[in-house]
Amino acid sequence: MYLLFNNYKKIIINFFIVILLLIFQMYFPSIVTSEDFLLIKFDFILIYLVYLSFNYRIYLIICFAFFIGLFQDLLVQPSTIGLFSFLKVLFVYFIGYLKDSNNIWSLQFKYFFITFLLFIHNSLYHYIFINEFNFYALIYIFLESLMNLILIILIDRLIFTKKVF
Amino acid sequence: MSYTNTFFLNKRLITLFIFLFFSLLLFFTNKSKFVQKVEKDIIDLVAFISYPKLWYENILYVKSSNDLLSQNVTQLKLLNSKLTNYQIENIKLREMLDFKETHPMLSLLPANKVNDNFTSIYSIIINVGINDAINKNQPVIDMNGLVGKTIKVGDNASKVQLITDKNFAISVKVGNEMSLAIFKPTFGRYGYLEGVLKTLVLNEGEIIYTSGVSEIYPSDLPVAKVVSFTKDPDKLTQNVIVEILAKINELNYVFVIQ
Repeated sequence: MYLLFNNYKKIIINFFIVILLLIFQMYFPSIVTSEDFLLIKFDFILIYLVYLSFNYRIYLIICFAFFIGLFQDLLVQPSTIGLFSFLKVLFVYFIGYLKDSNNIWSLQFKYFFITFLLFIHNSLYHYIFINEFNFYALIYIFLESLMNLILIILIDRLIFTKKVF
Repeated sequence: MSYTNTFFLNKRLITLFIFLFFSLLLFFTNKSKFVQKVEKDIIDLVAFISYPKLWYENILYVKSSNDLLSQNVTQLKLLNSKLTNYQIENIKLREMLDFKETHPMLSLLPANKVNDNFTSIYSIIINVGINDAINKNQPVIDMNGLVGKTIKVGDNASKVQLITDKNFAISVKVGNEMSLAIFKPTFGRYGYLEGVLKTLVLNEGEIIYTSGVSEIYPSDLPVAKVVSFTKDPDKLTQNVIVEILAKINELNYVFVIQ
């Protein structure tokens, strides 16, 4: 019984961490932009998924990302249920490429790759909610991606001891 | 590479597709305005992507339609010309019917020209024969005047010697005094009259009729009209040039007088 519990312990712990991060993210202040429905904010769950991707097998994290995304959908955006799970699954899959090629790619390319993934992730997310996808919206999304990248770099330096970069 | 290894390498991809499928299934089963907006945009995107294919298909469709329409136009043109011919034929037949009704004394049998025959004598072949009670030496006319006479009769067709044939001659009456003369063809639509006395007064355009002297031709069939006449001091008779009334070159339908 104990062994069985031990097998699922990591999953349960990570799930609780994600719930805490989700609550923290909900109450974390966002930057209001000139575009309606476009708030620039940190995505802590996404950053946590990057961490998990580098510590566990990718296909397991893809499953995990799906359920976390679904949970986030139910909690935050019930009208677009499936959106977060879709985006998170895609994000984790491509982070797998970064993990596989971590020793081959240069630091600049890794920055670029993660920024690109964040930009695509945020663009697809905001595309659903904003009325018109204009140049300013793209700029704000790019800034949001940069902010998240900086946070990933900081967390990687301070907590993960440069495991990602 | 073993089957198990292949599966292991693709495990990530398989997991991705499974969860993407479920994510999209969940997303599109929702009917919120955001999902509907995405659906609209996807439809627009699909339409945009498939536009070249549609454009190409349209071109092919237009090309095939164009070929078909060209074919239809040709067919309709042919049909139109056929109908126009029918209309002309109808008008001619109506005129012939009227002509027949204006000559109640004559028993007219309509016939159609089948063929021209200019080998030995100027003649035509018509599509009536013994089966239609046609005999040799029966006069043939069109709506304008005398055309000729039957010279050979088959079961279903007859040969008609034309008035323009060199060997053709007919007794006619001419002038106010109805003097007798002999009509003989010269060339084309023209002919001359023999035996017209100098004393006879003639007018240009005057119609010449059959005299009725012959056993073949009944009297008063229009034959020709006077074109010119001259009086030669050395001759007793006038030189009268006439033009045949029947439209020999445009023959299509004729009547056989029975």
